[in-house]
Amino acid sequence: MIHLFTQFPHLAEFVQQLINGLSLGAIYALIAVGYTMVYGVLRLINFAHGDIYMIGAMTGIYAMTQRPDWSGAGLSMVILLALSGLVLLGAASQRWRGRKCEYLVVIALLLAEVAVLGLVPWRHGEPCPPSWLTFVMVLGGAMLASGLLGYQIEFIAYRPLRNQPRINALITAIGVSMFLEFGGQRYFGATPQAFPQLIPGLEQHPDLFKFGPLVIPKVDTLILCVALLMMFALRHIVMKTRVGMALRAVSHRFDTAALMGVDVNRIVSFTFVLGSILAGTGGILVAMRSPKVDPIMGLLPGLKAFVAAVLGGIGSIPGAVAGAFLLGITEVMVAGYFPHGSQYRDGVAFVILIGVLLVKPSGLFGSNASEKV
Amino acid sequence: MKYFAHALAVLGFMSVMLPAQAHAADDEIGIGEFASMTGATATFGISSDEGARLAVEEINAKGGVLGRQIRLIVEDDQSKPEEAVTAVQKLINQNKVCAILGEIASSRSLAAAPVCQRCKVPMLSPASTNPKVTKVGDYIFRACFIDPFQGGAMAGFAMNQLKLGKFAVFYDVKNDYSVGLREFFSEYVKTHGGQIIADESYSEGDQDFKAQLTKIKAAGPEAIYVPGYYTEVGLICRQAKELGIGVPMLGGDGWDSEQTFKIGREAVNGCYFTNHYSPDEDRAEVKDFVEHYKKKYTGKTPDAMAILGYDAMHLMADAISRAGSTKGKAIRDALAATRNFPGASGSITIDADRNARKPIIVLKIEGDKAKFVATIKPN
Repeated sequence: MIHLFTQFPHLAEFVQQLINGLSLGAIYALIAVGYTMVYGVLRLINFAHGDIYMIGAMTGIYAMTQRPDWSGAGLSMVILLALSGLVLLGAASQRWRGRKCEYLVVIALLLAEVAVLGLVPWRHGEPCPPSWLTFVMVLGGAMLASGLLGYQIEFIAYRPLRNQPRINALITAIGVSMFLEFGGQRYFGATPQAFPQLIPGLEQHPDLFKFGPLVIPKVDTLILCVALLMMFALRHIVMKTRVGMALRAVSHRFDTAALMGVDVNRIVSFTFVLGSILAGTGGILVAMRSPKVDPIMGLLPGLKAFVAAVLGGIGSIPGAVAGAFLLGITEVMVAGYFPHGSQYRDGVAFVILIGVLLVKPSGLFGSNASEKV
Repeated sequence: MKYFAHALAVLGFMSVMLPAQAHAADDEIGIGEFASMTGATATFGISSDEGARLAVEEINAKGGVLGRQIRLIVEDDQSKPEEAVTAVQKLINQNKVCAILGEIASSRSLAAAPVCQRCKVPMLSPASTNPKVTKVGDYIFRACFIDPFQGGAMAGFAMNQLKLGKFAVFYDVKNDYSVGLREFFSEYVKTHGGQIIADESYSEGDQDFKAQLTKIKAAGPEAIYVPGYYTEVGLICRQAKELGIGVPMLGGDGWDSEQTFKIGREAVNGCYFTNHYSPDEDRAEVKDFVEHYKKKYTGKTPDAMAILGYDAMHLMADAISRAGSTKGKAIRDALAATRNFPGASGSITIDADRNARKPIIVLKIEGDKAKFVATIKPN
């Protein structure tokens, strides 16, 4: 193998670019799948999805470097937390009586979040030492945070608009995206932050295999493995479980699924949470590869993942994955082989979008007829 | 009636949001400063502001200038050239400053300089190195060297001291400073018998550089010149290391920030960059400055932007006192006549192009510190 790549350095360069593209594509895939699933169930393009990816990365930074200073918390924080607990109890009692109480749960969550995030001063602490356990815990924390956020966004911003013209929800989605971005700038600070090392030895010895001039970096392999693992888990959930069957039913025919006894609200929430968990994971993975995290980092990758979902056929999960890998590889090839290609790399996604909409609007794997918004 | 009351209430709330106008009192001299306190190059603005404030403290403790205390009014431009224009307009029109200090980044200085020139308010940039900045007009000055010298100095160092001949350049296409340095570095290399075998670009804000780095690696350079700002530089060095690029990276003063080490970590080890000063320098002025800075800012080691902000503030105060007045023309003439001003970063003489002639320090990164390697004097 080493001889092959030393003999043909152009082949080595091509394979290297392919690996770069696959790694980029894996991250786009994690975000694109969320877009496509939400479109599938609600026919809504959730523009705020890219910002959930950003929140995942930010959660990673907070988990690694920030510590809450409980002593600095005032009486108001304790009051809010107590209130949150009371509301939760109220919700539990309603549930026990068989009545609706989801809004109470969301209120309790919001109160707790304002208390812990807003009223407790967070101080820069000692970063956790890198280890596989840290990696798993940070990933878990990011998944939890982004999942919760996805659930709350759906409940507060999109569910009230369920019976209104779809354009209202679309505009709301843009509003939520801006809220997260500029709110993030206000809360986290607009200055990019450095993401600390998660896995021991990753930066000191970054290559996994070396075949002559071809170097396979550990971080790209890790990203591909984690992304593929999550894809398989998602496929298992969607294809082999009852919830997955209900999800497919709802995305096929919303009203009929409701008539068949599927609790559509629960399924929609589940879809959002699932998509957000994947996006949060994407945020952590990308932060390991390019450890610069800032509140607007989700804007461009979110748009590109949306394009990837459209390319693969919006509403189709395998389509989103295929579209994302295709987009990642194309972007890297344009940057790597065209003269001045690196200046056009961001434009590639949008050229592809226009091309797809002109030539085959339903995308590669799409089957739905085009619908008017 | 109900709507009238409602509107009145809204106006009442909005009036609370009107910011208090910072205005120098009659017994104070108002000097404006616009810097990137937040955003992609936040450490530049924060450092230069800290240096300037240290200088203001020292000057005011000695009685101020022309018997009046100095009041430094700072505007944040968020690392964006559009905001730099707004910041300078506000300083000139609302805060009525008599002179302006700023900016570190050449792109933002270039955006704001026409405003200062038009309003005839002298502007002194502590660290903008692109030659176009002072060409905007005769009211625009700088207290540092310019990029033809910087690009040539790094090229000369790499070819003569490190004995390298084949270079790749990876520059930021959206950044005037980076574009300029790439031009001057390439020119020097080509006219002195070296080769530029790869010339790639990126944009400020990019996260993924592996495509261009793979292309550069395939060309086989002996060193890569990355004249960008510290955030991207850190990422570029990391991704280069991941791709197995073992050759040293070279850079300019845009590398000088603690964030280079925080983002780049192991990957920036063994890289060289040109800068305005090194905290290890053996001169008494440098040692004094480092000591006072550490005392005021709790143990933080000053970077080049801090010392340049400090020197620029002292130079501005000196010019005002030599001018004997706070009129723009007088200050401008005094600045233009500066000869051998004893700055902490070196002796500052403003030449006919309103630039300063100062030596360049070459630094090498070892661990999480930049060590002094060589001084290159202007010819």
